[in-house]
Amino acid sequence: MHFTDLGSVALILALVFALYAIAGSVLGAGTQRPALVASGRRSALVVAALLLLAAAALVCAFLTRDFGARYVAEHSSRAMPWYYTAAAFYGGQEGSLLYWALMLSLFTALAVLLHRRAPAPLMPYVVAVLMAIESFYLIVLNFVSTPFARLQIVPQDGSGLNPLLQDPGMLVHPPMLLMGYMSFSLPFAFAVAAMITGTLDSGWLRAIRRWMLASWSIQTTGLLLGMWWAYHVLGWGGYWGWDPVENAALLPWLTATAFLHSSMVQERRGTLKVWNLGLIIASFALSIFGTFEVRSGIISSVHSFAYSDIGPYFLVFLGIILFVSIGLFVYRLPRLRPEREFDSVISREGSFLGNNLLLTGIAFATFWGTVFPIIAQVVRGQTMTVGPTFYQQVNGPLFAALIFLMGIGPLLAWRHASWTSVWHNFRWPALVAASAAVLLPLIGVRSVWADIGDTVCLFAAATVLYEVWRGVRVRHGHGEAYPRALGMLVSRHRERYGGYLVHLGLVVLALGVIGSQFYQTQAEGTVARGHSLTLDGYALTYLGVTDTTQSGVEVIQTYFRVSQGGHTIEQIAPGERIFAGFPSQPTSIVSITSQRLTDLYVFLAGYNGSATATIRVFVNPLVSLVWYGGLVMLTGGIFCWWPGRRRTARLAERAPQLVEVPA
Amino acid sequence: MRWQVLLRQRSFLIALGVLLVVGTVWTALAIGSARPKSLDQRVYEVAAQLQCPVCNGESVASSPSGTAEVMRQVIRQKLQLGMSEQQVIAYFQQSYGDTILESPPKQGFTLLIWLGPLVMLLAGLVLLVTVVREWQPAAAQLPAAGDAPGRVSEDAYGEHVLSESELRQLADVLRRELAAEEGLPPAVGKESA
Repeated sequence: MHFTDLGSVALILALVFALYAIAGSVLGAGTQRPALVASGRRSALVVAALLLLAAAALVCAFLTRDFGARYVAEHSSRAMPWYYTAAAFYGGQEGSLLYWALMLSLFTALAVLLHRRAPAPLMPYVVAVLMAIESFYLIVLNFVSTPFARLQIVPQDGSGLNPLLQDPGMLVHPPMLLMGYMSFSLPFAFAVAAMITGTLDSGWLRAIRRWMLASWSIQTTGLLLGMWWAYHVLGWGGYWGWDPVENAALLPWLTATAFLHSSMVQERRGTLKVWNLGLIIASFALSIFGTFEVRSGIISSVHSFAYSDIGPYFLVFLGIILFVSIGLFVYRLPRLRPEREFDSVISREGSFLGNNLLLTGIAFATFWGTVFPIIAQVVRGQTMTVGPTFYQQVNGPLFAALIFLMGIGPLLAWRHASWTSVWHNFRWPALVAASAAVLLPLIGVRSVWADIGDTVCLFAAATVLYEVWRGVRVRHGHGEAYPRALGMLVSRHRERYGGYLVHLGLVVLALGVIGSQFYQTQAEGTVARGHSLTLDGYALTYLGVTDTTQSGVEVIQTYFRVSQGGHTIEQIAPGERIFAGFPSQPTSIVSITSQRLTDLYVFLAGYNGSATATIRVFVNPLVSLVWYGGLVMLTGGIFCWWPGRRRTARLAERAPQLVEVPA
Repeated sequence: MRWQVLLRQRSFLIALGVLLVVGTVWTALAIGSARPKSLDQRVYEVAAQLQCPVCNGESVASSPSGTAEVMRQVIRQKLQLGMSEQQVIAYFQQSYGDTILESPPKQGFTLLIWLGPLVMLLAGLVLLVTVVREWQPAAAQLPAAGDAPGRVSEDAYGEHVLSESELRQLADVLRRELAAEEGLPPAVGKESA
């Protein structure tokens, strides 16, 4: 009896219970038998328990170094510390599929428990859809790509984990991103359930918005961690390479962001129902597309260690999802007519439409650039790559327009904004931005694109701050001290001010991107001992090298003295790690020195004992702002999502029912 | 005439002036001479436009591989010999074919990739305009409040338009109700006057 046997049994049982949950929920809802529905709901909970058991079995197999299990033998070795051994759980395909399935089952259980009092007709179908997705993963896990297969001959030691994955960033980045992908299932399940039952009321919209906000926050975290990891490990001085796999992760994030905005129009004005459903379906389909793309290896990418042959299964699954949801969508189309009309383009809803056009435009451009090589291959037999230049030239201006709109949108009135109010709201922020546009070239912003970008960012930031200031001033006028006024204002309108915080975060991030994109400088060279390489006022003097081996990992570190204007700032030690069993795949130790938002980034390209070392040096201005901005965005997202007080619910009750429940 | 009314407004003139100044600065920046680039910078810019032939999805600039390093050295030599950036790229294009380019050229079949997003964006815009037109109330545009000083007492819907004093009274009521909703005492400052 091995842990893997326990895992196999748990996976088979999980599939049985998942299928029962689908049947019980659908039949129970169709024949009005609450007991049957309840049994379906409970078996969804059982699925979660079984998957927890399966995951625990796999982790135990890893920690007990059971190399008779093929997955364990292929993804770990005795030399690895326990935390990387446990994390190897999602280090390969089978394990990451199991992780995905586990997270989906846990989120399903959470949804079942949280929405106990949700509208009776909706939940059975939500459970059924989630369990249908779960079943797909369980079928793959049981019959195609099982993590619990055993080897005929038990090896003495495993072959170890890909060195790139043996990094602290890898402990958190893949699980976050996989969880993000998975989490788009929940809004999708609610959307499909609503289309089946025809219940698209405000309660439904609220539930779906909260799940989408959660997905958005998780995906944001995953993307940021990915950027952080790329910056600290890959050694090319950047954090986002428009790699096909990065793009795949960005796509559902873009459509989810679009939904979070356009659903506000549905909440307030009752329109855009069709569009919003489309965005939810697109987000989920894109998350499955992302998984397919990573797994199939049809596109060349730095993430190529994940390739395998299960791509076709995902393609079929994607086809089924699109077929079913588009079918339902067309079937429900007559019910989804807007009930209110649209007054003017110069209004909040008008700006949301613009926002959606831009976000879906960026999403399309990104998707197009990602799949175009496949199209070219099929149509012309031509191999090609689509690299950062394409995305920078196409998406750059779209992002700038988006940030500009982000400055305007929140200050326009719903329905129809008069020119007087536009003037009133925007004169000070516009003046701040205009002054910045004129002054920035004087402090060295000489590129016109960087100046336009910075101006747009500062305009957006100024409108948000001006808006907050006016809110605070009104409360201050009622006798509240400024700090308290700010606190009350923000805590009473969580969603709005959380949203503003996300906007401010994005502005900060964008300033960081502009700074590091337009003003990065670099040098590359071989330095003899005692000699220096200079870049942008920094001088790096080569001091020597050390080579140590600790628990199977050889660590090579070269030492440089960094000085600026004759003063020594720091001694740095860029180097590389060579893991036992992977002599040809060293991972780099990048040295990053942050000073007043500017990073000195040093990558060791090669060395010849203590005599010479070859390094690549980058000076990345403002790159710290990318991380700070990202953190602010994330904080804002969580702030929006955080359960509010009863008042929110009370206000929501007043919101109109958008579509009547069919009798 | 609408634009004549606009021209007479001080706010409009100020906005126009500010826009002119900013426009001038941007134009000056666009046509002004950029800071001379260092050789390292030029090598990097060329390398960033070439695909590393032995890597997965990395440019010659970003790849840590030996091949990329050699290619960067070749770029440096060619630039030092006085070739322009375009010439160096063309040199690599000749020896490796179009696949060496990091993004496809804007001509022939691969022009499609550049046009795709543009076409979709325009299509989206057209769709948006059509849909919004359809959604708008039959009675054309609402007159924007405060746009025209000598306005009539009925709007496009034929509804009574409130006078300034009526509006002010209603605004006061609204402010009081909103303050109560927010759990605030009545205003103490000038707003209560």
